[in-house]
Amino acid sequence: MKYRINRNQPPLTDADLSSARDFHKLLHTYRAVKVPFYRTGRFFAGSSAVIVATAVSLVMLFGRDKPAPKSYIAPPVAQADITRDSFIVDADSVTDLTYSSGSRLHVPAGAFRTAEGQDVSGKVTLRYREFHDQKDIFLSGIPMVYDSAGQQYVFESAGMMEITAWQNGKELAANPEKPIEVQMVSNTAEDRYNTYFLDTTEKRWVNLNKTNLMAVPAVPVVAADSTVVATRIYRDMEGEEESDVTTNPTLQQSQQELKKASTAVREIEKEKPMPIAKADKAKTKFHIVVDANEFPEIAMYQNVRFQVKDELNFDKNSAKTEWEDVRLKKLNGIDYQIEFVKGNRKMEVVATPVVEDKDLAAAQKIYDSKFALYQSQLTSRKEAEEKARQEYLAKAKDMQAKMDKAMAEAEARERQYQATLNKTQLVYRTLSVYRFGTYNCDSPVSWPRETSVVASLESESGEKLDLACLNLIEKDRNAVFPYAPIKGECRDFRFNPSKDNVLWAMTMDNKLAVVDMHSFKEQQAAQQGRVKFRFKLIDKDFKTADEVKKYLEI
Amino acid sequence: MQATTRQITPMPGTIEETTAPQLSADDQMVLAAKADRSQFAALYTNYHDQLARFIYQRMSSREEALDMTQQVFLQAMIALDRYEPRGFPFSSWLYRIALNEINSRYRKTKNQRTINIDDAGMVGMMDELQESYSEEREELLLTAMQHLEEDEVQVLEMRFFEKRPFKEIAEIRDSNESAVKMKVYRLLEKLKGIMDKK
Repeated sequence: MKYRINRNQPPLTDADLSSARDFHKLLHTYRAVKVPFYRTGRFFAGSSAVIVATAVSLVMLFGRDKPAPKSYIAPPVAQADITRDSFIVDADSVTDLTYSSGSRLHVPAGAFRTAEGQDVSGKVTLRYREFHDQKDIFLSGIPMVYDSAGQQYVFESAGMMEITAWQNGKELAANPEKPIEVQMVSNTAEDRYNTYFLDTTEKRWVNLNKTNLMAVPAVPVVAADSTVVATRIYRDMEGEEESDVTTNPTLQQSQQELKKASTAVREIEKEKPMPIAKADKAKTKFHIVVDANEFPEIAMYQNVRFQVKDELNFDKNSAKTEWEDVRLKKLNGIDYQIEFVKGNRKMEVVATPVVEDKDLAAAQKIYDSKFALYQSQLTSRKEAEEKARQEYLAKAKDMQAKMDKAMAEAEARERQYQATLNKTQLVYRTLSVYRFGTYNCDSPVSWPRETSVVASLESESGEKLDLACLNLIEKDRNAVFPYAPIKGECRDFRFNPSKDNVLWAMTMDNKLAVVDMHSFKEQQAAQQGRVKFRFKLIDKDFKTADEVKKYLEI
Repeated sequence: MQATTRQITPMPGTIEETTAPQLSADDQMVLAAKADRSQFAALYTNYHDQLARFIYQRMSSREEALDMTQQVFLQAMIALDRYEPRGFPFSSWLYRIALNEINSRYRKTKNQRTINIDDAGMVGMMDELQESYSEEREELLLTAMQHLEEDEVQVLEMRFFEKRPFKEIAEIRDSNESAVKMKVYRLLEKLKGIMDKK
């Protein structure tokens, strides 16, 4: 029957209607789901700053050590984990974000706390990613087995997401009083999925006993707007977090190296030896003991005298005074200003350091030697400075290129999202983030039971395959069924022969191994309870999840 | 609806009189809500119950219907900036969103679309079909309704089970009154034809 016909259905009562009327709740929901941030004035007002901040942050990101891997979540292809996107938010104000899939994040003010429970202010980086299909689940390495009263199930997923927050390289905690609300796009509108949180400490999924389906908006929330390409979404580098410009090691280290090298050049330039002049017998001269540390260019010569420059204005009687203090100051060129002090009386004289004829040859020799040493040190320090500069520029250029690429990717995703919005109505699932981590909209299902065999796991050439992991995927179920192979065999391998099945595995030497749907069907007939599955091995150095996914077609 | 401005006193501190086309109470509330969504409360209060009943008429679960009512208002708030008064009641626009939502829900969940009928509505339809009432003929009519398209069912339920005037049905469907009348009569002919074949 096409229609279900109800006869004389009891009408809604006033009590029904009255209890359902809640404008306050509606307004709250509206504020949570209203137009994406990039279409708001606030975004435009702040976008340039954000982009600059993003750029700086990105520049700072590269080259940072990756955190220790969490063994509980072990992506099978280490370099091809599902990438995270980062959003920079202000912890003190409300922010609405839109992820490239169309999912929305409503971040209330005061949503973050330190690990010690203190409120967090200032810029915070939210790292976010989603897992929507079997490929995402497989590549994430997130365990999808659920234990309920001792019975194990596999999660069939309607969407999973991971959210964490960082500030200055430190992971933050969520403020449970002001949870981030996530409306995650889902591939299914079925309402049988519950909400689970992955407790990585206890290594188990926790049932939050909450449904999550949000009704489908009939009106597209936004229309495409080609002028809106600026975005604060950027592709995060795996295992690296945004940090403040003053604390990030990469650029700071590079800048410090350059600064150090430049300082070294300036310091040696100060030590440039000064040629000494020959004394003029007709002019007045006097002797001063100089501090060798302060005036090494004078102290390196023997028998230096200071020859008065302006003889006419020099009071020769001043030589008769016993001066209490003498202050020396270098002027431009080879002259010095000398100040004599006695009580309140002061006398200033401009004079030139000189040596007598008899000491001139020795002085010249000292000068030549010191100058050669100076030249050598200066050249060497300038070379070091130039090297540091080039290294800094190369790093900056490399980072800029990576940043441009990341921004281009983010923009492409943005355009894709815009296109999606115009074509489809999205199904959302609502998740409240009381703790940062991984949330899943799931329905536990049992492993297939239709056929149980001993599976022999072989390469296409018939050699036994020692597999690190083995997963069965049924085309129409958004689940990944893990099996435990031992030395090329899997006992009690269960599957449904009437379904479209594939196998995804990793060998012990990190090769991707697959049995596609067609091969599975050909090979699934059991002989004496045993089935031989021959895997195609892909020996590639995968760098991204998308590269791997090409080989995981179902 | 362009407002016109006329200067009436050429004095310092000029006073200007603005004469604008008369806005309905709904349109004034819409204008206020466009500027500040918290002002949507008035529209919500005015239309909540009738919209809930409209949705419930097409569903079998009251909880689901009430939940969907909130969703429809949410979508209306989101899309409000695109709403332009066209001389129809604001409720027509809400009903259109609701119908989209209902269709979408049934399409996605693949559940059977619910038609809620009552005795009075059935009698009215039988009268229009010039059928003498009997349980057998009524059964045939219900069977014949299974052959209708969703769009056709919508028109019939608005006309016979919600007893809406043609004008209002036209407003909800963004159509005109005579077209709706024509549609209803053709549908009745179609039903009659199916019943007679059985």
